[in-house]
Amino acid sequence: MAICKNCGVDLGEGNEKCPLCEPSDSRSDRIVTAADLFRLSRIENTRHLYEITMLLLVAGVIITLAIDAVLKRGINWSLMTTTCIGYLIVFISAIYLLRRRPYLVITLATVATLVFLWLLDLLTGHTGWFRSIASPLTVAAALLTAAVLFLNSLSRYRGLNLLATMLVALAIFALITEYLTDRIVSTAYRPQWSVITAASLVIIAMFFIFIHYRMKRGRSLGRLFHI
Amino acid sequence: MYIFTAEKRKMGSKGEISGRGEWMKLDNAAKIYPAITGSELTGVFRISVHLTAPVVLPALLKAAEEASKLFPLFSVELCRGFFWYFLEYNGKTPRVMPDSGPRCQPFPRTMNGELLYRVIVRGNTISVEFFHILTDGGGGIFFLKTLLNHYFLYAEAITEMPFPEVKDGPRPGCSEDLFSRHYGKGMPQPAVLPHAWHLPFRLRETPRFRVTELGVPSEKLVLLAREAGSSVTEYLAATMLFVLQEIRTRLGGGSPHIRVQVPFDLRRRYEAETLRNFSLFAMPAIDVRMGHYSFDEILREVKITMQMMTDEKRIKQVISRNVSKEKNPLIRIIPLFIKSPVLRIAYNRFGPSQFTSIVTNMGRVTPTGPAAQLMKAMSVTPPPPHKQIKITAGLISMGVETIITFGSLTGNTELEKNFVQRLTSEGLPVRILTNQQ
Repeated sequence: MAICKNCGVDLGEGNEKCPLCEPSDSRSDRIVTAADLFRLSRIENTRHLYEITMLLLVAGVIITLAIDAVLKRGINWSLMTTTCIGYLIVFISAIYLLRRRPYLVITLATVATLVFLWLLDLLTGHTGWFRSIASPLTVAAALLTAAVLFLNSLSRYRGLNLLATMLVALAIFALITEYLTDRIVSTAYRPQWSVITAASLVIIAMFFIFIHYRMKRGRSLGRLFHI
Repeated sequence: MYIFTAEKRKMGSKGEISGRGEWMKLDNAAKIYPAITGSELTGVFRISVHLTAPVVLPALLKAAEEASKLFPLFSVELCRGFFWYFLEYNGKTPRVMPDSGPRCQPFPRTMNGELLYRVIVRGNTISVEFFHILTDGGGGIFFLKTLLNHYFLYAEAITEMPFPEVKDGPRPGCSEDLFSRHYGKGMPQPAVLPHAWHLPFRLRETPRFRVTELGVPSEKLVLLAREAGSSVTEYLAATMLFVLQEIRTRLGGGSPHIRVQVPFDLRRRYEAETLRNFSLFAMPAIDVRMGHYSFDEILREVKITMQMMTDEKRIKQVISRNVSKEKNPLIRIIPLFIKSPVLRIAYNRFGPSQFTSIVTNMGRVTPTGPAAQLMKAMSVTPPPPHKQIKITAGLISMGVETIITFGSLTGNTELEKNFVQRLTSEGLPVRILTNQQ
């Protein structure tokens, strides 16, 4: 009588392997336990959502190109919509396909955003706003997002401390935004609204950090804000 | 020798699932589950049978396949309609899986081809887990008995069935939604209950659901209940209320109403053959503002409430209240993607606020013949409770033993300890069988 070392059942005469615990099909998407079933159903639901989204976006490109071609006898305004939808396709695909590699998602999303904004600059008369403001803001947003992710990965308990790091990142982003806009408008940096915004955000962040580390350590955001 | 003739069975009378492409509506009790269930509130219950020897896997696989053929109404998958979810026949057999991780893990709400029940095996134990959308405890036990009839035939060549009462499998009418039949238009609404007190214990980290199983001698338990002039269900519901009152008195705060939900099966009352959900619940309660209740006072309250709530007119009133919501034209025409979140919010707001805990008694299972000697006991694991409820209990009796299973989301074991102490103080020996912490 052979007994499975894992689930403890009698395997019956002539059977060496447990078909439940060691199935012949060794693919990673096989369903062995109840937990696998639920995990794979979530993956399948996400895949369906991604496929439907892609279908709708591609349909949007085809329809706008067709309307433009029929009504205007060429491709004019549809270039703008195609650029926007193309950007969305790349952005969503990066998040869906590389969701387990967040830094790669940020890199790809940053490159896609830069290309998208450059194309928009080209399509709207090439006035140079891409170089002076759009590209530095995009790079700053990407670096700050990566920094938030990195700090979040160091944290054992993710709760209000995550919100705090996001607020600090937003504060820095506000300062950078005003610096860049001041450089364009008046060539001199005169900090005004961004300092007030950043100071307010940092105070709220400090408050969150205090609550997280001194009062409610380990409280998850899901628990705190559940409806 | 009984002969299984699944292939020859015809279940095709009106309203019953019999073949590919057929579908059925969710019954009234099931309609809420797709909206409210998820990874933690799974709506899945487990019934287990503990054998004297390791389960023979090839025999179990064959038995599961054969038994499932007798239950076409269970060979269904959950599908999303525009206004409601529905069940569609797919003719598949249930998955047989090793027991790993917490009990009562969720079924995917919609996944192509997945059934809403499974067979779980580990060592000497065979379990079936059902999503409440499909059936309730009565239907689950019916399937498990049929599975065991087949299992002992293939594993031990025992031709005398341990459960001859289910030898013919489900009978005509097994897939009927009897809530709709017993609905009465124009019935007055039952009284709205004030919010109940909830255990203030801290929730455990995920995965939260753990169980504690207690074994008590069946005969002594029945004797104890009879001496108190009650049934086992009433006695244990009163014990739960008594223990909850002790905790409420010690901790204070919150609502003064302590209420226990006690489900009861309606099949026997209406001589129903349905295997779909067909149960209601009584809500015995105490109000601590009236002073401290002795156990006898609580038991009297429980008996009165149970008698009152199991009265035919009351049953019809509650069924009518439940079904009238489903029949409301406004609710019917709201698309599912709006209806589901609204139902979820409404349930979280009003559902668990009605009661403090649950005690569900699945009754006594009595096997016969030589196979009876090969089964030690049965146990039932109630579905993981809502985060507000935190602890629930289920029990089932087989042979000499009744197993009481506490399902808990909290690391605090005060309720279980006090429950055991209360029973042992009455002279009932209690064995702790499983204590997953």
